[in-house]
Amino acid sequence: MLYLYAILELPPPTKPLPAGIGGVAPLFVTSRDLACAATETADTTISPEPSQIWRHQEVVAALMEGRPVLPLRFGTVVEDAGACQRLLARHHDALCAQLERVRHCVEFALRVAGLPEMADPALDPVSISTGSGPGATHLRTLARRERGWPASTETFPHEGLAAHAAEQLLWACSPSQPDLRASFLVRRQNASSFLDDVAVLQRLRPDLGVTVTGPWPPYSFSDPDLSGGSE
Amino acid sequence: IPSRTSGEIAVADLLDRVLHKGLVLATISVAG
Repeated sequence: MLYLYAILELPPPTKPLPAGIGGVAPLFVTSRDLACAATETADTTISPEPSQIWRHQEVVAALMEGRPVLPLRFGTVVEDAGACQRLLARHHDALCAQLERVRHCVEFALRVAGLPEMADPALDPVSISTGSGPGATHLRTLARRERGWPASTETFPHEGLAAHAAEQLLWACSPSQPDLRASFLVRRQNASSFLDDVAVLQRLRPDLGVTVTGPWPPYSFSDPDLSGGSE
Repeated sequence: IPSRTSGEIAVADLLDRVLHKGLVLATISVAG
């Protein structure tokens, strides 16, 4: 079996990489102008131990030095190098487009704790509060889970964060994750300005727990949704 | 607002991304 870390353009880095899953050095499987960093493993199921998660991150971060990468979801395995090559060939155009999307970019993670509970303003609260069938219940669940930015910028003046971000993604919230979470794709040259924008927000709302971490590899912006196959 | 260190937040953000984001090509086989 091959454990997969990330997809990148050829040529792969020549600099030694950190040890990967199981402490094994990564290798590269190539197809046309793409490469996939991988590690041979006997395990068909990967345990998300702290050391394994850290190794996954360390390999992806090392690959990201000087080139765009598409990190794969933790635990992605294929039968062998041939299967990996077929995937690279099948999704070649979509993967190349996605690499272009994240070129010269890093990801920052924003968390905001302490915001009042919000519903998605796109959902009509009257129509979903009166029904009692399974559809109404589902909509109420969505309204709780799929909240957006606060409708009022007085509640949370987030618009300043878009000034230096190429893209942004708001995460769904859940009972175990009450914070508002967002991912920002930021060009490296704008990273310092983006962090300044966050600092402005922190000064504007010292009552909220506004935190930012990064730069991370572009985990939140790597998936072009390949469920339908290549275009 | 719960009191959290920068290390705790960094780990939570890392876990969010490594375990729940990233490109989905292959099987994703993670125990429990």
